[in-house]
Amino acid sequence: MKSQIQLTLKKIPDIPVEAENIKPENMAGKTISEIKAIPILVGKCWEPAGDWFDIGIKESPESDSEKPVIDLFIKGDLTRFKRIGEGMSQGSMRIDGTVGFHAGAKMCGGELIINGNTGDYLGAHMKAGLIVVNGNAGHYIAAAYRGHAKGMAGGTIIIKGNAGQMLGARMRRGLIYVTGDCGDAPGFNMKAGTIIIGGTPGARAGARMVRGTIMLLNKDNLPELLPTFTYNCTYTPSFWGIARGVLSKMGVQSEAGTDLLFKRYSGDTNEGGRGEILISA
Amino acid sequence: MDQELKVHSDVICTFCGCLCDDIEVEVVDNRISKVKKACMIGRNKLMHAQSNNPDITIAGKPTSLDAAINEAVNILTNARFPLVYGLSSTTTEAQREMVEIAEILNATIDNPSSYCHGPGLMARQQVGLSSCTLGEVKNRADLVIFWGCNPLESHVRHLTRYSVSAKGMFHPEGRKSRKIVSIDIRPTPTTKSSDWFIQVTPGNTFEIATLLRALVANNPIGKGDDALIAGVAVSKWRELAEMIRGCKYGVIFFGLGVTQCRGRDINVEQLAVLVSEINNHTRFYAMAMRGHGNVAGGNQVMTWQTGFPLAVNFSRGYPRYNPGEFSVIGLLARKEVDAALIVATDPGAHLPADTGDHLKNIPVIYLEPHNNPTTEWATVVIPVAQAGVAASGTYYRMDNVPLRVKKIVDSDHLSDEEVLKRIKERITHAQNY
Amino acid sequence: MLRIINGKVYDPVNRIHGEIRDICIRDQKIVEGPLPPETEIIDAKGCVVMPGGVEIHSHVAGAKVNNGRMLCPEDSADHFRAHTEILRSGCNGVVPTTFLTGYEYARLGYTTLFEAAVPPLKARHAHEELRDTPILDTGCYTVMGNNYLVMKALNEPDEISRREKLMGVVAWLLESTRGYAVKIVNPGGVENWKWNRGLVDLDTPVPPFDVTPRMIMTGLARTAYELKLPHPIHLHTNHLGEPGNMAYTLETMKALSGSRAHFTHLQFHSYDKSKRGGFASGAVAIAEYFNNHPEFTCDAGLIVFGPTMTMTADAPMEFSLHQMKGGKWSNLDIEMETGSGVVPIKYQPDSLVNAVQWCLGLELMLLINDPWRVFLSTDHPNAGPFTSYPLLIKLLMDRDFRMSWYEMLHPKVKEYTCLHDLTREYSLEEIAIVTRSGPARALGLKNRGHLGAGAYADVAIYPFFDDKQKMFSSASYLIKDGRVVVRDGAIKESFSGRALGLELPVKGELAGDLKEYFEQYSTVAFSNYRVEEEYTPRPELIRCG
Ligand code: SF4
Ligand SMILES: [Zn+2]
Repeated sequence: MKSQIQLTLKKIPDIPVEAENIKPENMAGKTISEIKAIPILVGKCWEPAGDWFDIGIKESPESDSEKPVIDLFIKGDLTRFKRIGEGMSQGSMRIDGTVGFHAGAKMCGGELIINGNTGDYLGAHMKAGLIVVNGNAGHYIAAAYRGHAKGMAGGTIIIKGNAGQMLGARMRRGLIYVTGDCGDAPGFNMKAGTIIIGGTPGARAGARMVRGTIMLLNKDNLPELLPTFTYNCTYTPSFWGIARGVLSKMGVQSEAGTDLLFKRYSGDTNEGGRGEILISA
Repeated sequence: MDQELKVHSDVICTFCGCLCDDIEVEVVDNRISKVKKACMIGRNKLMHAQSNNPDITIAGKPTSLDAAINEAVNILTNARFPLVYGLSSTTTEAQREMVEIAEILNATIDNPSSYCHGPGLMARQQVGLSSCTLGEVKNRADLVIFWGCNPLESHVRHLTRYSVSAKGMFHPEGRKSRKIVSIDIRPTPTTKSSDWFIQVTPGNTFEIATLLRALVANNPIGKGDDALIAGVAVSKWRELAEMIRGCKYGVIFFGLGVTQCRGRDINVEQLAVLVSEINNHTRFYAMAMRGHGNVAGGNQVMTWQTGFPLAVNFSRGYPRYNPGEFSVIGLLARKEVDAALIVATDPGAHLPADTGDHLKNIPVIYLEPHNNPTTEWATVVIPVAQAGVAASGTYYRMDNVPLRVKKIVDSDHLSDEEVLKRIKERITHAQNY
Repeated sequence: MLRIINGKVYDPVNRIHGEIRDICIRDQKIVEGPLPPETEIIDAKGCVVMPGGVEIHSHVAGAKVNNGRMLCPEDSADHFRAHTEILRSGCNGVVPTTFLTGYEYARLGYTTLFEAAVPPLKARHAHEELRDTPILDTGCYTVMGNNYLVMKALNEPDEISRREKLMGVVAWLLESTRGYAVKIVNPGGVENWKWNRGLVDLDTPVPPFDVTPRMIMTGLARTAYELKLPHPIHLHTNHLGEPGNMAYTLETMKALSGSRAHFTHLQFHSYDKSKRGGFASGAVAIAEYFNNHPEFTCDAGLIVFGPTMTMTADAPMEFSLHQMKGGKWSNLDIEMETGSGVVPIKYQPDSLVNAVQWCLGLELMLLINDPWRVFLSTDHPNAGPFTSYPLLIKLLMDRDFRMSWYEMLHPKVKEYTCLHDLTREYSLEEIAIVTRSGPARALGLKNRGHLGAGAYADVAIYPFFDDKQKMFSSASYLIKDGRVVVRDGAIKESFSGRALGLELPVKGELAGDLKEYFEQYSTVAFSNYRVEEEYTPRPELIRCG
């Protein structure tokens, strides 16, 4: 029998809170009073989590194999809470509410589900695992922190709403899927990996990209590509079928069929031109 | 009784990033009476430097310096997420005190570059930048490109002292032997005095820099010669690329039109890579047209003390950096700070009104030589002796050349550095007991 | 007052070779003793006592160093230190922030530190950072090898007025910058690059004054001699980092033979060329020549594997490094004086070039016989961060350890190096020489680098371990000016050190035409150029001669 830990926010803080200690592996097997004592950084002071959350442990319903068991369940407006699930490596965590910056950053395993919006740097430098956002995500999703050449190194991020600017900037590997629109410069300076955008991207998709793939499923209202992308051909990449399969396993059904045609542009020619932007034809 | 006349020469004007250091100032009975050689802006500022000083106040009521400092210390030590902000128009000596205060308080510290030239610094962190001092421009540059800046109005003497008509070692004729190009979205006095004005559509700096990179390096492009980039034909940009490759020593001065244009830091990143790649053909450089006197110095001090030029947070006792998360606009827009120490900048005038508003809801300590919009509402106002007029110290020019600004008159007030030292000492004392 | 007892003292200057001696300290100096019985005692039983370390070549303060910090926020995010009641916070493992630099050097037992390359126009910046570098006494070298006033003076046809003018310029530059030594970086080569021209050789005329690198180096060497400077020219020769540059370095040594000179980071200048044009060690030939020329000193510039940041006034070298590696590149041309560049780099044992460089540095230190003329350095942070000194000391002292590293290198390295043939192991005394007594002597610092009466009470006490890396990684005690700064490896007190400058025999004055020239073409007024005394609040002027 697995137990589920529930954290319910008692009051919304008026200053920023850093809560990288809130992640499944830090809570699993602990008693309520142990969990209460877990420190979080409120402004510049470390305070016990129990001051901010009501904590409950309940036995989780038998898993019916369809729905995965959630180990850690958090509820509340966590807009001011940064770094939740940072570095998380196992287990599953669900948040009902909005979260702040850096959620799931440097994550290297497990599952993070956010039923709400997220701040910037969601999944930054992520290595493995899955993040699903049922809401909108901020800027610099899966991106590299300042100065780094490489961001996300693996794993999957699915955003059911819209995403901000610099989506997947400098990413190195992994898959990002956005159902809705995204801001400027998705895939900026990406080194490899895949970004799929269901809605309309902002300007400068793939700017400075070195390798990797950006798929744009919606050809309407597309902003002009940068001049450093050149048209190659129109075809159905075999890769599309695979990606579609992977996504549907994660609960994302694409309306487009497996035989969808794409126009292929290669670029950024300033960076060697080994990346590609595939636009649904 | 005869009036006492003192003439100071080679005075440094601290009012813009040019830091002209040839100003002549006459002082009669400790009052500045005449200013020579400065531009209109500089002269006005110097002539009015000694007037319109605020009173020492707490909540608008006059008080003593001692009481004001105590109140400041009280506010800062009780705050749970304080902000230390400013550092642009004061000496590095004062800036060093500010960083230390931020550190002792485990506060967040930022300077106005986060909404001016900060994107240029972030770009440098990704790709670096090839730059030079202003004297290299004066002596060597045969191609000068003003991009998104209008120095004829913002840095008036820049063109005559450094970049356009200055008579340099290898340009004894000054203006005649240089090509001047400007890229801007509208005509300005600077574009009018250029050899070639390329008028572009707003928001397209990144596209221009991207295309120029391709043209300079002969990379394939997906556009024909007639296609428009930023409203200008590719063939025209090709001409510019040729001009760039053909020059001997070229310099791009970039202003807020580049750093605050759509894309911000990635504009400068692309521009920096462009400049770097041009060096495969000839010598080429770029320089940020830094605005306020010592905003460059603020970035330097923060970098050598904390490792980062702006947007630093000490919540965990050590410096952490993340513009957006720890820069003034984001912090205020999200209403995250609960007290602020502001020195040598005017947030009331410079910050966007809606973000600045949060400052009116929290206690703010403000050090400033003159009455301005912020002195009207700041909780604690401490007037200070103005750097470069009534206080000496170090300023960094826009090319990061450090100069020592001088004290030419006496003031009734302490300098920023001195007030900050007192605040720091009392904070340390308060924290230890 | 303080008495250190029971320690094994290594004081090569005073011929004390590991004997148990008392060291007596009164005020800021070491004294003969005896001291009154109630004097505080430090029991150094089981420890080794040495003079405080003297760093002869490191890049720790000023424009390009700060550029280096600016260039790697990602490193700062990973390496940080929180503030304490005594210590300021800091970060960066490759180019540490100023306070951290002071603390880390102190923990390694160093008490004197020279910033190796300061362009005159940026001297205030260097001094500002040195003011924020605590504990150590510091000084800086003034970059002159591409300076217009120097080159213009050298262009003077009349020999006597040439010498006089040059002397005036050099003295004026040292005075104006509060510098300690004449630094020469790629003489003429940086200026040539600004003209988009190629590399320079000894006799390449360099625009705009048509003087040659040979003229610059010999001229400045002679001027340094005539000014009786305590440290001779500090020379980074042309062609740094090129395969085959050994031949050029030997040429340069010949050109300078007979006059004192310090060859810095010699490792970077001692490459032979393999048949295919690649890197090979030229240590044997360089060391042989060097051994026969007692007028020369050098520091090694040992490579440390791992990420680091290269930074030098040698702008063309940095640019070609950038062209080779891609990635970040910062450059700053400085009017009428020099250039500078910054490029991050990672030295890797499985790269043949890096492996050869690694061996070559150690070979130089093992093949140069006289430890008084070769000093430990990594040209911090160019060849690696100074915090690796303990590792490098162990590599010098322990051949088995050295060979265990050697095995991990690119397999072909044997063909291009001779390290595997070298059995020499440094003794503790030799380590004391190459890290403190030797540099102090080369710098003309009479009160440092030894423990005789009259010396500054700068003393490092290391716990004795067979593992020499462990032994030198953290001093048990560091005494600076008689104050106990480090105790049990932790910093207990922090204060500002002295600023080391020169008391020159002549007043630095520019000849009329040079002054006029300066006023016409510099963007800084003559009167605003000179660094004011406020920038060196605790000066100590070393007398020339
Ligand atoms: S250009 Fe700037 S520094 Fe020069 S006088 Fe005018 S305001 Fe002052
Ligand atoms: Zn060096």
